[in-house]
Amino acid sequence: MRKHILIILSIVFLGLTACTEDVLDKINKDNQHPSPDAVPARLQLSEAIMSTGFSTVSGDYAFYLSSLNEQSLGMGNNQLMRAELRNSNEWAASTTFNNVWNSTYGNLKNIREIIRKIENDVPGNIDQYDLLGMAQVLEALNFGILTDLHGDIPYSEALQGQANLQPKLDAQKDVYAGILSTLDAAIANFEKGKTLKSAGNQDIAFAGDINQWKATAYALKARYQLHKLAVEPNVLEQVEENAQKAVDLGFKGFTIKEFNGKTADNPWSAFVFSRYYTAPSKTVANLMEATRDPRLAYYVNSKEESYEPGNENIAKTVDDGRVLAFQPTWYLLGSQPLHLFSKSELYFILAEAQLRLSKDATAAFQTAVETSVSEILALFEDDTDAKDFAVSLGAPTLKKLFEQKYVAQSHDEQVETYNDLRRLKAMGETYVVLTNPWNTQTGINRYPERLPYGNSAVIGNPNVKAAYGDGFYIYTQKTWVNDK
Amino acid sequence: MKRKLTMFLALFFIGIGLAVAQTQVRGTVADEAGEPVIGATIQIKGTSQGTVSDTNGNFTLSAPTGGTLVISYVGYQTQEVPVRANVRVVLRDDTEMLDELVVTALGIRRDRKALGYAAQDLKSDQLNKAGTTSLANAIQGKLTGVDIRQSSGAPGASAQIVIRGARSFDGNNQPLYVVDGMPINTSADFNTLNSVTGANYADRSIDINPEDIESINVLKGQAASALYGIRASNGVIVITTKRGAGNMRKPQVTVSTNLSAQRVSRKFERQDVYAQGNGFSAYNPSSSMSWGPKISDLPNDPTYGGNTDNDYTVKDGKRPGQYYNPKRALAGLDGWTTPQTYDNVGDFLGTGFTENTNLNISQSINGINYSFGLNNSYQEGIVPSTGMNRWGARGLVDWKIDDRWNTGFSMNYSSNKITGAPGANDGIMNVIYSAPAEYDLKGIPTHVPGDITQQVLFRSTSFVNPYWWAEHNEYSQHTNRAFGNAYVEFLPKLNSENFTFKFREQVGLDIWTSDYSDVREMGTTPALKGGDIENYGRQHNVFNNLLTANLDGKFGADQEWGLNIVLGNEINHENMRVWDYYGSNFNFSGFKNIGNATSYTSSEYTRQERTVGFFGSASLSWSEQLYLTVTGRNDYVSTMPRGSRSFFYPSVSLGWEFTQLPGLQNNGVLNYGKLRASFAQVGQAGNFYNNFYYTPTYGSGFYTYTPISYPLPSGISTFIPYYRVYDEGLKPQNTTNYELGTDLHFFNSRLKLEYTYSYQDVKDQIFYVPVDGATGYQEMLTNAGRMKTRAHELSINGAILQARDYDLNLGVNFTKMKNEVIELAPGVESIMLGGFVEPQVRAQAGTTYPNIYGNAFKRDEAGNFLLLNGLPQATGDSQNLGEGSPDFTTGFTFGGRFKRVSLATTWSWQQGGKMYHGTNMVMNFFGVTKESLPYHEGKMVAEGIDEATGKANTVEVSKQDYYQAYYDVTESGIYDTSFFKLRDLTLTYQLPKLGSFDISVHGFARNVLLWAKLPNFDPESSQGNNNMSGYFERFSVPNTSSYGGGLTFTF
Repeated sequence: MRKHILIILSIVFLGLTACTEDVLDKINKDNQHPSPDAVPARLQLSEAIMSTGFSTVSGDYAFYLSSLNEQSLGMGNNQLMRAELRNSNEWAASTTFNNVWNSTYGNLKNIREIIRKIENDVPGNIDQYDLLGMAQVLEALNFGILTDLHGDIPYSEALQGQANLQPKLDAQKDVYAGILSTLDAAIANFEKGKTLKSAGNQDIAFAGDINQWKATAYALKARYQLHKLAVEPNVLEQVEENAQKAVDLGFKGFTIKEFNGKTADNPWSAFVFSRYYTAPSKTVANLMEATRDPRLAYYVNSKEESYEPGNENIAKTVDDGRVLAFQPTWYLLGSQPLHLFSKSELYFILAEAQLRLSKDATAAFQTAVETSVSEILALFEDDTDAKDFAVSLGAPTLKKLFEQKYVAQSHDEQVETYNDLRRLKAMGETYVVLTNPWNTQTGINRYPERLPYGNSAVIGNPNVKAAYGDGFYIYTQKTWVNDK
Repeated sequence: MKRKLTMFLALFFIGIGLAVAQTQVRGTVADEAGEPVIGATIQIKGTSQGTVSDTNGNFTLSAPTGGTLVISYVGYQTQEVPVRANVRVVLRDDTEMLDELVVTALGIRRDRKALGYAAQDLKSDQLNKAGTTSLANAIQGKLTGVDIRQSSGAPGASAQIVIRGARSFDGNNQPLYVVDGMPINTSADFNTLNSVTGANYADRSIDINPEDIESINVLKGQAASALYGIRASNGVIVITTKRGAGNMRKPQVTVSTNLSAQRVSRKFERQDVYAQGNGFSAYNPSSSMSWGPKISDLPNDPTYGGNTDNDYTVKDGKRPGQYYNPKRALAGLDGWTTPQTYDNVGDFLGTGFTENTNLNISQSINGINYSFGLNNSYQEGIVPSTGMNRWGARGLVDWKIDDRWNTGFSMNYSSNKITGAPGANDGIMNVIYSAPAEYDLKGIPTHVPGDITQQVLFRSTSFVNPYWWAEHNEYSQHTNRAFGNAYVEFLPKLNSENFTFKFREQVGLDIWTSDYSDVREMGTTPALKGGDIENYGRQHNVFNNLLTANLDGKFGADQEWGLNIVLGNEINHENMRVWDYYGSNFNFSGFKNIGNATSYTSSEYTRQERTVGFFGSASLSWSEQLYLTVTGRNDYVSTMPRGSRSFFYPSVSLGWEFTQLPGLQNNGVLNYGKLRASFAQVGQAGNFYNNFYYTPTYGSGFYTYTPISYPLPSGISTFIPYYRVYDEGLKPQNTTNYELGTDLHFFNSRLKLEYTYSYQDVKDQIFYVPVDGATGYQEMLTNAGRMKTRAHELSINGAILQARDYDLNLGVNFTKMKNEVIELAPGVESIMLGGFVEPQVRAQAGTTYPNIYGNAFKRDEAGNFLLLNGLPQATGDSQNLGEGSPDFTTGFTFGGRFKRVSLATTWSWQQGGKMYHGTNMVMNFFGVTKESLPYHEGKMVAEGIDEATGKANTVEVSKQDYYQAYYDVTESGIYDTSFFKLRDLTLTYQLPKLGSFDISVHGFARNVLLWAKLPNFDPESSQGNNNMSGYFERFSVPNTSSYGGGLTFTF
């Protein structure tokens, strides 16, 4: 009997020791994932760059805005058809841009973690000022796109995780001030870290070339100062000065070249291969035809066609995914590099500032055009002389400049085109005329002045919900930089 | 030990032939109506000797003087009589048994009347086992308070079984399964998550063969299951497998087999008037829609008609009465064809086949009960290439060694192979349903001659030709599983005869490996032109140790007090290994092996979980009238953060058999009455991790494949913060449950009524609270939210007619449940359970759980449509479009017997409830449904207010535009799921006994009659194997009807 009791007691004892906190901690150890501080910040940089390009600069924003800008037509009898026909709900629904809202802020969280590790001297990341500056450049770019598209956004209270689950909305004016000072901080860090190579080959944009990063910071400063032109008309000198600094540093363009068209596809190609929702637009094609632009052959589809924006038949047509007969040719490669900030944009900015300051902008304008054209031609190994084409355009006027910028950005810089179109409207200037008849429907405006907040914010953050209302504010309320 | 073995062997070998004085017994066995009972077993107690009664109920045998005879027969109470020369035995129907034993928590057998909570059990013969391979199907319609939602009629389709409503918004709401005392994992290996791509994953209850089950007891309330601790907060399904039966003389062998054929339960009948096209004016041989001209007018089509002048007639000459279809030409056929219609749905959805065969041998001999079985279930689905093949073996031995020692084991093995079909975005059913009536989907080759990667299909999108799919692609699941346990019981000798004391030590294992493979051949879709293969799976190894001490006794002057005390400890430890190997872009077609891929990603990890519980239960009874039980259990759970791992659950229940009161005893009308009440608190744990980094993937949203993955082509990898944040202050979720009920039996128990009201309050739910992306995260695992459930459960069983030759029985199981979401996290109004960006299935504060959330029609305050350009529009923000859960559900069982023929039927009635039916909506949008017929031609002025003018609409639009705009808004796809169906009808004929053979033959039909509010489809087919299942349909594999028959031999 005693023997039996001993056996039983020993089993009970086993039960007791099987559940101490230390034993259970060990059992619950996560074997699948690294803990935050175990990851060196440089390993986070690659995705910070990739996500900025793949999800935020291109990605859903660009796919929809391309239709809105008439840089292509939405087709395929689904979401992009609704976008093309300016279905009020497709544009106003908080679900439409929810994925990109989440991924952009998620990317900003990653960027902030890089900054945290360096600023807080987390072992392995101490004094990596070059990497710190890169993170700050990316932060400025991501917040810049968010505020340009959504207006007032969570900024000062954002990215705090559990510490603040319902961040307030900051006025766009304040976000802009923050972005510009972040860029100044980045430039200072590049100075401090100019001899470092902290990022190594994780820097998939510039392979650790600090001067290119510094140039990007100046280029972004120029861009965001220029965005304020409608409400702060005295920014032009600063725009010119910063753009010139970027030029002087030899800015080659902030691009990702990781795509090979086989195991890694450019996001625009991936979108076209997945959905076939895009068709060439007459608004672009007509501008190209008027100047005998050598890019036209690669912009139109295999039928050598382009279509009037808002064409209902095309919008409802489902392309044959095996043939991709309707899709713009320049998306069919998959291997084309992706712009985060193109060299041509920098020169267009410089040219605009010079023009508006009544200076000679010919060199900047022609470099802008030549860069854009040569990049497209290079994709197809077309040896037409891009410079000849640029020179053929002569000296720029604002109209010529914006037409060329519009055409250049039709490939993968649609977000900036949308910013330009709204800014020019605020300034009372029109250069590229939008023709989509659905922009106004029985007298009601259906051209969004901004994009709606993401669904996660509308559902989870009362501050955003109040601003979002039923979503139809996007048709009436302009953002601060475009509200003159 | 040696002594015991010797004793056993002695008993084993000489048990039969002890020489004592013998008496020649002559006897008859009859039932209460005086009719002879044929084939009753008469056994000499304590021996294997015995006989059976003949066709007149007579028997003779030689038995030891002073011994006892045990007379038994299925359906009657077993009786013991002393050995005499002449014996007449009257067997009583066992439906009258009140002292029925019920298996409760931890296998403790208790009198049903002693329970203070509701317990419903089903015996083997009450299960609808024929023509199905799934346990969920076998019990559907038979229980109250249990919601069973099957995902489809596909072989191995998952089913959701939820007892008394959900307790978790987005986590597991499935009950714990306990098989022969061992907890068994039945969750699906993988969750279908948003359930908008891929195939369904079977839940692991598929590893249980319904034929092996002797009884199922459903512990619904938390008071009933509290002893099982943390894993039992969703209720427990206690399964007892078949035990040793038959007599000592020879083993009883049962062979049963049934075969059945399946057809789609409700076939989609499409319109066959209008041809493929985007509008009435023109035939379009590559459109996804059927808004084209009349099929009969195709020869007059200006572009493709054989009667008109066009490119084709210029080339080939006029072809009067014919039209040209370029897809036929692409497939190598003559492009010219004469208009005719094809039954594309009927052609594709073939006849399924199901076979179940079981062999069981069992015996009860000298303290040893054994039962061994083999089984095979084979299924071919109605969708080509889908099917299931399950092989199982089981063995069970209970050995009563002596008065002090018992031992035994139970082992189950199964091998289960399922090949499935995908739904929603990867679906094939949409192509079948939307195939134009004039397109010969079956007859036209699926690819360009000589190149399988160049598919031919009437439409041109990301969807695959279903026939090509069936031939080349594969979604397979293969699980090998063994589970079982061994136990030793020790009953020390006590000085008091009124008390028994028992230790029980049980060790169990549950081990399985599941291999999954999703294979998509080159050319599946343009985005998958290189094809891909994903081999993934899980391995689980669960160890379970259960030690209990049980004291049972009676005391008091008249022994009117009864006492039962249980103390115990349980350790459950689980090791898991999870892997995923993905390869894409095959080198060449026809070799779908991961070795043929050109780019790879992979992941593999291990994880452990442990739960340790200490528990106790004390039950006190008085005068077989009042029963009180108090239980408590404390669990320690590894998956919670430090400091929050300990949980305590108390329960108390009280039962009062008030008909034992002197004034109510022997009442002719109410012969039994009990009131019961219980209270319990149980918890649920979350899966806590410290915050971590991961490598992100691309491939959601608009992308239908993975456009880029890490490592990048340049070899670069990355790690970033995970999108989910874990609350370090996470604490256990708490469910409080109150239950009140009564059991009433009338007219000598011919009419039985059970009613239970339960109130469940779930606080501090653990779930992934969606957070504003601007926080840097998308969701947080935390405690938030509250849900209340009020359930009314009523079951009525009546023996309407009862006689020797015939009987007629009716059972009604009624459930009305309100599962209300009271609040979610602060500021959070709703959370997503699954679906697309829009529509989704959600949990939303202030509505019942779950609801459907999406775009509604834009309306003015009076409810009129606000039209723009004469067409309906959608609201900007998503709205609550309807609540999924029904007003009530009722199951009916109705059957009877006339002599040797018996008929059993099971009916289900669901009233109310809503679902999103994407297939109906899209088929309307495509102009494919019969409902669309009046909208193909002509113009109309829609009713509503013109948003531009604020006045009644006067804008004329084409009927097609109106119809499409209407079916573009999700609200149009929300349907009432009320239905009434005949789930099962079984007709059995028990043949007269042939020698030692008992043979019964049966024929059955399942899911045959259906009246549903939902047009065109069976409402019991949907997406997902999780909480959204049942409420969200989009191109799901359809449900089936089954017809078949079978044989059971017993000898």
